[in-house]
Amino acid sequence: MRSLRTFAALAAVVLAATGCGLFGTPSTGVSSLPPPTAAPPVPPVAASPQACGDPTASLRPAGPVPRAGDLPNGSFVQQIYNRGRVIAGIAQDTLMFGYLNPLDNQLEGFDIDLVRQLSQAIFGDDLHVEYRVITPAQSVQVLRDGTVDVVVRTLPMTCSRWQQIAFSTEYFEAGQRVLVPKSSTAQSIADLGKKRVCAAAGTTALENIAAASSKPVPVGLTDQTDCLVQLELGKVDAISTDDVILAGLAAQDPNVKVVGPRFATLPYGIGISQTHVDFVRYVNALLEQLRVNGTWTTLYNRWLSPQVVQQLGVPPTPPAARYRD
Amino acid sequence: MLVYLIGGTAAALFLVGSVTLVAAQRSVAGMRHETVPAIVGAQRIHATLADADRAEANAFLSGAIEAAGPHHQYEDDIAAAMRELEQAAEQAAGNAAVGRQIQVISVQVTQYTSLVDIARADNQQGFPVGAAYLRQASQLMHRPGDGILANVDQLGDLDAQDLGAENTTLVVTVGMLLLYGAALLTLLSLLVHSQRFLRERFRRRRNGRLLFATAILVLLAATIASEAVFTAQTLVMAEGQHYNRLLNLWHIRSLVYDANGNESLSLIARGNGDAFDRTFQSNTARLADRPMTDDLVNQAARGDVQFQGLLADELNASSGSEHDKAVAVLQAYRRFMGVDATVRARTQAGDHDSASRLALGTQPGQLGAAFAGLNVALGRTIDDVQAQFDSAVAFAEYSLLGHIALQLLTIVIVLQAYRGLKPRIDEYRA
Repeated sequence: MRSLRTFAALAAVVLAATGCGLFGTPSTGVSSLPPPTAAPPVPPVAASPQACGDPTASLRPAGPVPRAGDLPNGSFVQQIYNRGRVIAGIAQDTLMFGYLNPLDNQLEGFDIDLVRQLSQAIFGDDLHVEYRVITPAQSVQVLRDGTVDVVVRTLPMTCSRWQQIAFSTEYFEAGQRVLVPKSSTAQSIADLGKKRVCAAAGTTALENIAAASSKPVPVGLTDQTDCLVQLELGKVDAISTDDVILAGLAAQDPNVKVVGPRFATLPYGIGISQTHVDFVRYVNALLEQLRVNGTWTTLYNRWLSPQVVQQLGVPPTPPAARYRD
Repeated sequence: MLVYLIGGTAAALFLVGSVTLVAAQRSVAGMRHETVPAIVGAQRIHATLADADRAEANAFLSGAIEAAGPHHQYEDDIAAAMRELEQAAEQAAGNAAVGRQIQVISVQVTQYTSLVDIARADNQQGFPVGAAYLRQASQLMHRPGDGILANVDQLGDLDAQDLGAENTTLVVTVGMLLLYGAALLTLLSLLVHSQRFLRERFRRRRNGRLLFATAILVLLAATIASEAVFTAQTLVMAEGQHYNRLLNLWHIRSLVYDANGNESLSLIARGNGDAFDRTFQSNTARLADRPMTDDLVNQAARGDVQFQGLLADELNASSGSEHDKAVAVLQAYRRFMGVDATVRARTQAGDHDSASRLALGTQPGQLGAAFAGLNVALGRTIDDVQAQFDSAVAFAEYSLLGHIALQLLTIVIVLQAYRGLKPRIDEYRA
């Protein structure tokens, strides 16, 4: 846990930069998430004004995953095989899903392991990956301009994104909640009217903050961890984004807590270019295989601690695949 | 009557000469001991803080179990910058604007080190938020307008205003030299007139003492004239060449530090460091406006500088052994950019770990070693130019001091003139 020196340093920064005091009393232990409360009906995806039917529905696999190296001629996955590596857009600041562990300088997390599974399926081992760290705001663009083959970055499936990119089937269902200092009296997004609420720029979460009826002031920053820095410095009042991301932020700061019910669902899918329909079907076949053979559950248990699982209230079962054809 | 005129004119000559030379000497001494050290000190603070940010970025890039060298460098740099700020505050005791600016910078440096401390603490616990704190710290350091380095530059601008005032004083002293020349000519005329008067009135062929006084006056005039020319030339050389080169070299050093720091921050961002890469390109473009090649280096070594930028300015301003040192800096820069290209190629190829190892490596052929070589080459050149500036201005200062002492010769002139005229006055009265 953080040393006294860290807190003293933080206090110096906060006091010098903002004139505000520290929030809460430093404590040890991961900030606990309250169990899910009786929530009002959750809208499917709040920030998806364009109609697209079910945004979690993707293209049906053409069949089982072909053996590594024995890939359909002319397919995009064969192009990846010939290139020698799959290029994946990922996060490096999202604890549990995609983050650079400074202790060993390795990328880790649920999303990172999904990319490794993709490499395993295509090449027969999980070493043929080029990771490109991207911000949430870059997720769509890097697929459209062909910089990456896939985006595996806690990317919610929305109708507006479906208009620009394709998605795999849903591989994780998150929900949007709120992170506040422990000293805060706010219990949900409803209590944050006119307050500065932060989320990463270009995310569905930021759109949802702007659309909240309590009229909070949305603050978009490059990454979620930038929001945590600003919260610790007292420059924003709260962070509102995916609950699993908030759990990761809370694990890094004992002075904050996650509050309130989910007020929007955020279904994660793997982003793929619309021009690679065959690859969408290939990835969906792989995801189906991971659901069936228990790999998904293994990854879930590896990266989401029992404490977080209980507090998030998300069952350790993969979301059922939905198809649009 | 003649005696009074000579005495009065000599007194005026002494007064004008002494005031002019003392004013010039004080301005030159101010430049040497206060203003220019303060301006160069601001440049040094800028470079030292930029190096601290660079070093910490390198420490961070090496991981939670960070390499000891870069972090020690960071600590040394911060300590050195704080010492410099304390010295600057002491020197600026009477300048409220400079004092306020130093206070602003000191507070910001404290904020910066606090952010870095948090970043390190998070990093060592395996928390990714540490990288965000490092970005925040680096942004505080480099933010245009009100960041730490921008405020240090403004401190240098305030000091430069003092240099401007000293230069104005020197220009005024040139004007006063005209007045001094007029007094000197008047005195010379009086002495010549007295000699002629005595020859006509008392039928004396020559008054030795008056002649001696006249000779001293002519000698004084010649010495002052040569001193004025010498001091002007020395100061023009010191300010126009050594001083400008000194600022240029410190600017180069800061840009090199920034470039290296931005490269590390880009590597920390693992493919998402476009902003850092753009700053790197911007920094290096100011050093040389095109990619450095062996051909460009060889041409420059022959005196044919085929590019523009701060490195080209240094090459064009130097000659002889100094030019050799400037070429050594260019060669070191070429090596630095060569390794940088390899680091970027590996990053582009997705081989991030290998790129980071090359960036942090201190063996020959690795970026750390290339950076150190460039830094050493720059340090040698800066030391040389600083020594040249110091010796030139010191020489001008001591020379002016000597000529202030020479003003005492006007007393000798008056005494000699009086003693030359006194017997004739006595003779006339008798």
